[in-house]
Amino acid sequence: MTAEHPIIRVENVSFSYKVNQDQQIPVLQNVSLDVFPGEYLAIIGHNGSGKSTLSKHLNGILTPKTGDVYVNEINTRDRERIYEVRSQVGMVFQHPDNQIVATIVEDDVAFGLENIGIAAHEMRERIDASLEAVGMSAFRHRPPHHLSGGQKQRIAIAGILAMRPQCIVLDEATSMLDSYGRQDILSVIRKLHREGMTIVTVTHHMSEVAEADRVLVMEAGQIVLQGTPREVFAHQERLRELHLDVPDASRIAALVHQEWEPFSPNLIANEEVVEEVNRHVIKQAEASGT
Amino acid sequence: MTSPIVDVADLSHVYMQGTPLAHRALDRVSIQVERGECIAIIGHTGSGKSTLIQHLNGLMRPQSGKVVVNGLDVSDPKVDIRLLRRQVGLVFQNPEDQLFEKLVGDDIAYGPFKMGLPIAEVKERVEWAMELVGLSFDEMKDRPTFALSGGQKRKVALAGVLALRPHVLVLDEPTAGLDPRSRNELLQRILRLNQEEGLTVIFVSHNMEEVARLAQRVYVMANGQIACEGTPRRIFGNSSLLQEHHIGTPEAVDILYQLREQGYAVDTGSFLPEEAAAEILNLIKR
Amino acid sequence: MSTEFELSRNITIGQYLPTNSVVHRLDPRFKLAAFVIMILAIAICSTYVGNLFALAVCIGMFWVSKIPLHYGLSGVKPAIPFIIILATLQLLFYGEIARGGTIYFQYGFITISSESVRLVLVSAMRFVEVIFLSSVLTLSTSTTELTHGMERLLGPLQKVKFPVHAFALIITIAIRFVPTFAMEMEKMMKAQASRGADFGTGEWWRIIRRTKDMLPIIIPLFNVALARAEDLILAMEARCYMPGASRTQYTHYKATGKDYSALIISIMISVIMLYIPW
Repeated sequence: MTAEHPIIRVENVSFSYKVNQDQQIPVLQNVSLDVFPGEYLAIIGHNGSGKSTLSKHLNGILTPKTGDVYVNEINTRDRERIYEVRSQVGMVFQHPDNQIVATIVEDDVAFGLENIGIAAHEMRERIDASLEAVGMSAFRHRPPHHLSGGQKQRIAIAGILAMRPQCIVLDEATSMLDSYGRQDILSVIRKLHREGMTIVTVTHHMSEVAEADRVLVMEAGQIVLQGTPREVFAHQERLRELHLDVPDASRIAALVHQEWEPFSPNLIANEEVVEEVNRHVIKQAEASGT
Repeated sequence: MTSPIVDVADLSHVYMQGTPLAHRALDRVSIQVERGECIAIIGHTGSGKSTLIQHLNGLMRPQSGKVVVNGLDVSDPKVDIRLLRRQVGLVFQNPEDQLFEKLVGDDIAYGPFKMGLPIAEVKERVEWAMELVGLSFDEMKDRPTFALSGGQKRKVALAGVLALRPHVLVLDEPTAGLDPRSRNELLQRILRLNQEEGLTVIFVSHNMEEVARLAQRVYVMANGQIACEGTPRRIFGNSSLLQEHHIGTPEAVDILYQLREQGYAVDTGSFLPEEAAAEILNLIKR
Repeated sequence: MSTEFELSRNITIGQYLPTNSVVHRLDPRFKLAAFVIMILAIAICSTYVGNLFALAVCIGMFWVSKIPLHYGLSGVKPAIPFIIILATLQLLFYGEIARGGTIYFQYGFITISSESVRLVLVSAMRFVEVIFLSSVLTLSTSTTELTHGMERLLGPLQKVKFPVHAFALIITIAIRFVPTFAMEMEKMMKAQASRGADFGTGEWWRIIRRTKDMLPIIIPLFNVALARAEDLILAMEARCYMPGASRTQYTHYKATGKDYSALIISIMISVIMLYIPW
């Protein structure tokens, strides 16, 4: 398979929830999207924009009403091959507590492996490796209810890593954590991405979005904006209309730019703001000939 | 000077005292809150924040030390605990979980009904509380609670506590899990309650942008103790303190720190984007 | 002074006391089997000496597993009123049916015979034995081992289409969520108390009123539990769980000589209990 081949292809997907016999609420309207190997994709939008529903289509938890989703060319409608789909695209959910099934950490990591019929000796190797990858080896024999939210999410990630997926989908996985727990999870994600894992994250936190390769903005079940974080955050007005924030770094850059034309408004990270300041100060010093 | 509306002195609490699992959650904590203030309590998970706020309306009684709220002494076993709980409205994390009536109006009316108020006054209070949180009484009172969005549910829960007409509003992570739109709106509402209705507000938060926007004064908790107290400007201006206690900095402050490290003279206490932009303009326009 | 709300910290279901004794290190399948055999023997044995012997064995078990006896006694304490009520009822009404032995006392329908006295005393002893034995089992075996052991022991039932894996999984999940729900309940009680609710202050005989007072807790707890269950199902499905599909197992137990000896010892004890004639 070449790198141009998407891992996930979403083609003209529409989806609606049934309220009752004759009432349906459309949640996704004709959404198309490709996720490429090694990519870090962020999906943003306010609650009810359809972003969470979209993410649940990526590994066949939901199947489209019309349109198709393919994971490595397997249609997610194909129930016979749903194991393959779900072991290739893993998913971490919002509530740390609601995705742990076992009373001991290592048993929980084993859960998915037991489901796909991995032999016991191989399980041990995989559990070792995935607990190591999320830095939770020391907790392997502990009951999960004594762990912090961030630690529980790391266990959830380990449970998915053990299945050796190509892609991990995080559905607001950091929204219930404190800033410390969030940083913890982000550093795990960053490391996995560096090692080649494809990441799709659904989030409200704009600082997480800034790290992505590509951003999709959703509104009323459609993708209304997409591009690199820099391209997307340049549309500050449009984002405000959609009730979304931009990172403070972007806001500060825009504010400075208003007063001082040459200062670049298209900055998304704190470090970039600092660099831009440096550049201007040096230019000024040169201009004044000192 | 009038006496503070909330006065906590030398409060300590040990969970499971006398067992091998004993855990000191509060260690000689003292805080004073003046009438009409808006106070933030920040700190790492497990630093004792939620144990502290549960003492403020008598859900927990002091093991040692003193808690006096609006003249009511929480450590006095004979204190009118129901009066205390009406005066101090405590809103838990994810309060939308606590809704249980079918209709929005009924749920908000639960507290006032329990107080034994006449129907007309209950109705008046529900209407008042709903308007305060930005829910239209006529439009929303007969809506089923389960059909609301997350942000709306949280407003209903907040209204349910406001309907008690508390003097002090205590909030645990008021915006956790909300999307930016609902978060900003709720913050506006809380700010207005403090500034226009004169409610004393004490809130616990992990979100430093939120603390920066709302709080007049901040208490930093660590290991069951008050590690530091001061204005947001003072707290955020002290990077070693923030790092020591695993407290995230607002992004604007982080940028200013990086600039200061490179030798620029900036005020790192400027935590609002507008202020940070002004600091930067000062540097480059010279 | 503590508070009326501290539920979660007092829950001791599945309280495990790791002293790393021989009993702790036994294969849970064998431990569970031995336990079931002894419980059956206790249920059948109705002699004084047989039960005294069983009682002695149970107390000995605490010593072998290095668990202080007061853990067992604290399990008996809450059962005392129940034992007394049962004993009284048996004493009053059972004599009519079991008219064997000497009759000590008779008045109207009340007959107290040596047989009914024996029944009363033996039942009380059985109670204590069962509590002691269960305490040793749960204190020396983690809940994880217990469910694993049970799943393996019930394994043969799969042949008659009994869903053993699903059953074990349900129990594991139930145990897993006990602390979570205890915390949830504590939080809910505190949240409702904060807006004026009061629980348990009404007279106990006004059951309807008291039940009504609990609704603000029960309804939200149900909602939260349902929401959690829904989340959990999604999370399990996302990790390839299919009800009824065959699964492999991570934990494997290998029985050693110690495990076989333990089983044999428990059978011998049971046989002795049942053969003692007095």
